[in-house]
Amino acid sequence: MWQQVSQALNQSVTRVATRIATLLPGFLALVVALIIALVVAWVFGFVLRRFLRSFEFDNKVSGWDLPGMRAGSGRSPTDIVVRVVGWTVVITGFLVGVNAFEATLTSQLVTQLFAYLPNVVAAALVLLVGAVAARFFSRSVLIGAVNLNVQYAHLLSLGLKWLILVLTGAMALNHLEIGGKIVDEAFTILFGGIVLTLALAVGLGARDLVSRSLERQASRLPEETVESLRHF
Amino acid sequence: MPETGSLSPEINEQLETVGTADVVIGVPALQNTEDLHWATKLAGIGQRVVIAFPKTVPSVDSSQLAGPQFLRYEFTSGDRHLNPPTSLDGSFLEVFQISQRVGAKCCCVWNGNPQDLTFEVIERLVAPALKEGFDLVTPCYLEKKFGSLVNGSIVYPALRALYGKKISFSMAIDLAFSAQFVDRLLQVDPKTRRTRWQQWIATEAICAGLKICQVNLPVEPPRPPESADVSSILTIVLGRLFSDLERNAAYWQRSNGSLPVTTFGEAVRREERAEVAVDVQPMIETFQLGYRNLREIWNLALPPATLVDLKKLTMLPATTFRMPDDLWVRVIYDFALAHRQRSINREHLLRAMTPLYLGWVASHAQELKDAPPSAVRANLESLALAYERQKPYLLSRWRWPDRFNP
Repeated sequence: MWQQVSQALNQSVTRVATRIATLLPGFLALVVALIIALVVAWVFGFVLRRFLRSFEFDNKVSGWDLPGMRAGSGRSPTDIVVRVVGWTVVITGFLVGVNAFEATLTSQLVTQLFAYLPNVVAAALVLLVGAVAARFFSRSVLIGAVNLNVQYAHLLSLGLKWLILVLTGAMALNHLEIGGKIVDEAFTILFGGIVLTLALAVGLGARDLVSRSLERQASRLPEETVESLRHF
Repeated sequence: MPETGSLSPEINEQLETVGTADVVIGVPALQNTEDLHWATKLAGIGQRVVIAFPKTVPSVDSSQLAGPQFLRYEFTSGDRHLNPPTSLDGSFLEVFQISQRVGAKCCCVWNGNPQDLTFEVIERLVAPALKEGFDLVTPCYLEKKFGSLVNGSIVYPALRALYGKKISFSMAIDLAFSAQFVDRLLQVDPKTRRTRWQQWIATEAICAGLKICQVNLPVEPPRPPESADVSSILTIVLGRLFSDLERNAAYWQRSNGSLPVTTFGEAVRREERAEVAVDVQPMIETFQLGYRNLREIWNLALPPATLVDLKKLTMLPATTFRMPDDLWVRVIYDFALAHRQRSINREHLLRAMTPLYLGWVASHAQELKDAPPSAVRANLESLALAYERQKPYLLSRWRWPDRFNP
C-alpha cells in the first residue's frame, strides 16, 4: 500500500512540475514584457515631457480651467498626459506578456478586454467633459449670482455643479455597464432631490429678495428717482 | 492698399449721383428727418457735404434742405451701446467706405442721440479734422458729478498712464476722422489680422503717431440701453482694454508720463447741487458678497497682500468705507496681468471684477457725495496720478510674471 501511495505522490509531483515547467517560460515572458514596457514607458514619458514643456503645454491648457490641473503643481497637465501615456504602454506590455500564457484562455481574456475598452474610453471622456462643464457652469452661475447680489449664490453654484456631476457619473456608469437599473433609479432620486432643493432655495430666498426690493422702492424719496450715478 | 470693402449696388448707384464730397457725416441712429434740421446751415460753410442715414428713415426732400446731399443706407445692425464704446461697429465701416469712395477730406460719425446733434456740435467735431489737420477728433462730453464712472475710474487713467495721452473720452462713439486715418482704419493689422477699425480707435491713433484732439461739446455722453447691465458692459470694456494692452505692449512699455491733447472749445460745466443722494449700501453688500464667494477666483489674479487689504475693507461700515487709490490701481493692473496669462477663463475673470468695481464706486460716492463737482474732478485726477505712479509695478509683473505669481 505504501508503494501505491508513494507512486501516486510521485505522479502528482511530476504533473505539477511539468505544469510549472510549461508555465514558467510564459511567466518569465510576462516579467520580461513588463520590464521592457516599464523601460519604454519611462523613455516615452521623458521625451513627451520635454516635448510638452518646450511649447508650454501647461500654460496653454491652464486657460481651459480643467479641474485639479494647474501648472507647477504635482498634477499639472503635462504630468497627467505623461502618466496616461506611460500607463498605456505598461498595460500594453502586460497584455503582451499575458498572451504568452495559455494562448486560448488568455486570448479570450484579451478579446473581451479590447471589446470593453471603447466603453472605458467613452466613460472617461464623458467624465472629463462633465467635470469641465460642471466647473465652468457652476463658476458662471456663482459669478452671475454674486453680481446680482443674490445671497445664496454659493448654494446655487454648488447645486448646479452636483447636478452636472451626478448626471455625468450616471452616464459614465451606463457606458461601463455597471449597476444597470440600480444606477438609473439612484440617479433619478439624487437628481430629483437636488432639483427640489434648488427650487426650494430659490423660492424661499426670492421671497426675501422681493420684499427687500419693495422696501427700497417704498422708502425712496422722489428726488432719488433721478439717476445720480452713471457707470457709462 | 486701403480696403474699401464692398458697397451694395444700391449705394453705388447713389454715390454715382453724388460724385465727390469734402465731408461725410454719418448718423446711423437717425429715426426721423426732423432731427436733420441742422442740415440747412451746412449750405453756408463752403464745403460739399454728404449725410448718410439709415434706409428706414423716409428720404429727405433735397429742395427744402439745400446744400448737403443725402444717402439712405442700410447700416449694419448691432447694438451700438453694448458693443462699442471702444470698438467701432459696422456703421463706422460703411461711413468710412462711403467717405473713401467720394474722396472726402474728413468724415464724422454720430452714434449718439440724433436729437443732441446740432450745427454747433457738427462744426466743433468736423473743424479740427477739416481745417487744423487733426486725424482723430474725440468729444469731451458734458458730465454730471458721478457720471461715466467706468471711464473715470479705469479707462481714462489707464490710457493716460500707459499710452501717455490725456484723452477724456477714448470710449466715445461720436468721432471725426481725417481721410488719412480712414484709409489706415480700413487696412488689416498684420499683428492681429483684423481690420484696424475693429480695434480700439484711440490707441490705434496714438500708436500710429497721428494727431489727436478733443472738443468740448454741450451734450451728455450717450447712454447704453436699459437692458444692459453693469457687469456685461464692464466685461466688454475691460476685455477690450486688456486685449489692447497685450497688442500694444511694445508701445506702452516705452512711454513715460502723460501729455494733454489739444482741446477746442470752452469746457462746459453743469450746474448741479453739491449734495447728491446715493445709496451705497447695495454696492457695498455686493462687494462683501463678492469677497466671500469669489475669493477663489480673485486669488488667481490678486497677490495675498491685496486680498488682505480687500478683507479689511469688507469689515468697514458704510460711513467709513474707503478704497485707497493705490489698492484700486493694483487691482486693475493685476487683473490685466491675469487676463494676459489666461490663468482662468477670461469671461469669468472679467465678470468677477464687478464686485470690486462696485466697491470702488461705493467708496468714491461715499467720500464725495457732499463735495462739489470740482472736488470730484480733483479726486479723479489724484486717481489718474496713482495709475501713473503704479506703472512700474505693472511693468515689472508684465516682464517677469514668474517672479510675482500669486
